[in-house]
Amino acid sequence: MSRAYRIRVRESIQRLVRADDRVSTQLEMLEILPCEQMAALLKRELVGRGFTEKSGKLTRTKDGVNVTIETETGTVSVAAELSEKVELEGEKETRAYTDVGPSAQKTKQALREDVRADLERQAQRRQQDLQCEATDKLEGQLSDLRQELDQAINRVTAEALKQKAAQMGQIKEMTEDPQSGSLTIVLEV
Amino acid sequence: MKVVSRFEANLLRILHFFLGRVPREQAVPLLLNAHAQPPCLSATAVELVQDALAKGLTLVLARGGGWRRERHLRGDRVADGRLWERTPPAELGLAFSRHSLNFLVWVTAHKPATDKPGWAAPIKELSPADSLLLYLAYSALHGSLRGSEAAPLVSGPALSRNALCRLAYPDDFLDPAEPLPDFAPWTTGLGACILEALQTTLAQRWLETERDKAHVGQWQELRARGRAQEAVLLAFLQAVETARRLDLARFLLRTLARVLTPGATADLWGTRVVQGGPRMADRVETTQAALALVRQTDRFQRWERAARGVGFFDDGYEASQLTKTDWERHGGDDLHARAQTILRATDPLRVQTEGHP
Repeated sequence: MSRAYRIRVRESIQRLVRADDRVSTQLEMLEILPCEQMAALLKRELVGRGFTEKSGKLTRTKDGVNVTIETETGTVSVAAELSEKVELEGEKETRAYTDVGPSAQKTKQALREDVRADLERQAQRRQQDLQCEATDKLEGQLSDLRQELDQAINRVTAEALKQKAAQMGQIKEMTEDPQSGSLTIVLEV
Repeated sequence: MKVVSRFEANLLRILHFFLGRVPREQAVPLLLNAHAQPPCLSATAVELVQDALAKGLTLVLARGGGWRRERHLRGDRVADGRLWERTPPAELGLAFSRHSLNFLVWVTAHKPATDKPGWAAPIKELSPADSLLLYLAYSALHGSLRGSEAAPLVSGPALSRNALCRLAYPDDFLDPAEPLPDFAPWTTGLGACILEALQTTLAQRWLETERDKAHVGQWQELRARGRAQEAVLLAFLQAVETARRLDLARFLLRTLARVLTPGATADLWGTRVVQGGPRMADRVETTQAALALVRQTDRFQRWERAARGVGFFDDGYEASQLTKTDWERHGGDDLHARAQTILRATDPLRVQTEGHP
């Protein structure tokens, strides 16, 4: 005997999927001046580069990537966070001997669970895709950030050297080559 | 001729296997099968066990490294010579508790597959000699039984919290919830002497552990191994630092000298597999874990720098000289520079300071 009834169920889910990735490192700064002065120089340099102070840390968010620097310890944290509201819909159908009664209810329930499982898998895949996006975003910005921090450290070091030289004697001559990053200071002690 | 029962004969054979006197092929079948445990052992058997432990463990320590002429600390002074020349033999006596015999009876009587929890004994009641026997048993069983149905033989809290087992086989204990052993008893007295004798063995084990990483196929496994190593390293190095027995960590410097060769790169530590990690955070964490030992060069350098500051008339002058000698003998400055190069190369954000004005 053929199954005469077609049972169809439709389900939808809403999920807020989140993905994040982060790396952190320590800035290597030469201790030309006492730590507090070096930290102050670094802070000034970073503020000039668009960082803002928030609860004792300097932060900047650009293209969804957040950079946080603790000038006292030299800890740099870079994080990318993404979130997305996902709405998924699915539908499935099957054939049954009847469309009423406990047997039909059971069939519908099984079908509904099947659709939900499918939708959950899709949401999970979306979460994985979002995770890849977050990682790619982070990786994409690291190269530029590394260069920028390198420049910032160079400038801080140069400034610290000038201040140190001024403490040691009278600066007679100072030549700076931004291309090569070299700095020559002639002192009279 | 001394006569013992079948069970006692099996027990003695297993003991001699642990002491390296019986080939594995003869002992493993005995270990894999259960044997009916008698209510007690005969006086003859106990006497033979005592004799085997007294002579066998002493021989293992002497052959393992006690015979080498080494320099180690005794208080603030440096003692030179073989182990029994550095410490009076009377102070090197190995005292076994009843737990050693209990362990031997257990390991002979039980079929490992049916006794999952493994052998247990109160950790605090184990003497250094008991712990040494357990370590030798673990070492003997490590290669042949690990991962097999006999795994319970090498599990259990008494072995997982054995400082020597954890120090020699750190990546066998991957469960981060597993409590770390207390290394303090191994930095003084007989425990420290045993550790001195095992320096060569430990260096060899760590070399194998470091080289094994290159063959790990999964980044999760590499991270778990590295974390387990790091936990042991930090606990051990802190213990020797607290006890001012930096010479006991010499085997790690020896290992570093063998692995941090000129031109060494992070790939030697298997860090290629981290590319499979889904997140950068995972990749960085895995790389750092894989380089757990390499990252300790900073601590060794700190010790050496501190030793430099100790003057001739200061306390601990001889100890500081020994620290400096160890550092120089193993090319510490070069090792540190190579380690830093590797660590910089694996840090995705490391800002280079070279070329500064």
